[in-house]
Amino acid sequence: MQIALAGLRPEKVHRAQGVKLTVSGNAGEWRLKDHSSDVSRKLSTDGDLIYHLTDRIVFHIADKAEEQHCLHAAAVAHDGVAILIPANSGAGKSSLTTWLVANGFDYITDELILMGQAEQIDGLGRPIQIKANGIEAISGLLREPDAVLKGSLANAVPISSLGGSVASSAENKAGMILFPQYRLGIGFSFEQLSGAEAGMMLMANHVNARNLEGHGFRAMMKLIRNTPCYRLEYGGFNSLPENFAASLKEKISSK
Amino acid sequence: MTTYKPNPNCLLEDMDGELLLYNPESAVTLHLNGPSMIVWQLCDGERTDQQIIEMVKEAYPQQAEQISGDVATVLADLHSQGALETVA
Repeated sequence: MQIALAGLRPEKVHRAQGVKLTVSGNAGEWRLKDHSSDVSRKLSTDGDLIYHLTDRIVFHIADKAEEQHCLHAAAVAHDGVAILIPANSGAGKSSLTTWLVANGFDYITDELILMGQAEQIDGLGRPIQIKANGIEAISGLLREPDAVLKGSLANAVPISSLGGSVASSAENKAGMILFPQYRLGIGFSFEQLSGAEAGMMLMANHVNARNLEGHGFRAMMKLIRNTPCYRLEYGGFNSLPENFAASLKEKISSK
Repeated sequence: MTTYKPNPNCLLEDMDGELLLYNPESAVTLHLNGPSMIVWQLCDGERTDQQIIEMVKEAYPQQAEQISGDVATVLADLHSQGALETVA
C-alpha cells in the first residue's frame, strides 16, 4: 500500500471526497471494494491490487474535480518545467514516461494530470503502470527489477526502481505538450503541431470537461497558445536519438 | 433551399488562422480549415445554401464543377455535428 500511495498527495485524494475504497486481506488474497458502486474485486497479485486501486482513485478524482482540469495524460518535469504527454491507451504514454524518468526527468504522473487555473501542473503520482506484456520493453531501464510488482493486467513500476525521483513541486510550469504514437518498427519523427491540430488532440484527452465552465475549452486553447506542441512517433526506445532526453530538457529550459 | 446559422452554444477559437469549434452539447471538437472554414464563415443565417455555393464558385471558378457537391457535403457535416442550425 505504501508503494501504491507514496506519490499521491493527500489533498488530491481528498478531492474525491465522499468516495470510500477499502482494501482487505493479505498478499495473494487481496479484496478491493469500491463502496460508491458496491463492487468488490478479489485480486491475487500486488500488481493487480495497485492497478485497480489507483485506477479507482483516478476515476473518482476525474469524476468529481470541478476546479481543476483533468487530462488523460502523463507528465514529467525538469527544473520545475513539465512536459505533458496526452494520449489514449496504447499510444506508449507509460513506456515513454518510464524512459524519460530513467533519463533524468522527475516523475509527475503516468495517467492523470491536474491543471489549475494558473496552468500549474501536477498529477496523480501512482507507480508507473506497464501492461503485463510490456515489461520486457522497459527491462533495460530498470536498476532494481525485483522492485517491480507484477500483475496479470499491469506491472507497477516504482520510480525508485528506475533510479528516478518524483517531482517535489505540485506547481510545475507547462513547458511542452508531447503527443506520442508508438508503433512497432516505425522510425523516429518529431514535428511541431499547429495550434488547431494540438487543440483537437488535447480536447480528446480532457476527461472532466463536463464539470467545468465552458467545458474547459478556452483554458485548453490558452494553454496551447502558451506552450509548444509536438507529435512524437517512435518504434521503440532504440529508435529515439541518443541526445533526445537532453534536447527535450533544452527545449523546455527556456520556459 | 436551406439557410444555416451557427449554433450559438458552440465555442469558437481562432488558432493562428485555423478555427477550432467546440460543441458542448456533444463534447465534439471540429477543426475548420480551408473550404470548411470558408463555408462556416458564410453561414450567417441570411444566405441560402445555393447563395453560398455561388459565392464559393465565384471565388474558385476553376473548381466550379465540384464545388456544389463539396459545399453541400461540408454543410451536411457541420449540421450533423451540431455546429450549424437551420433557419426556419
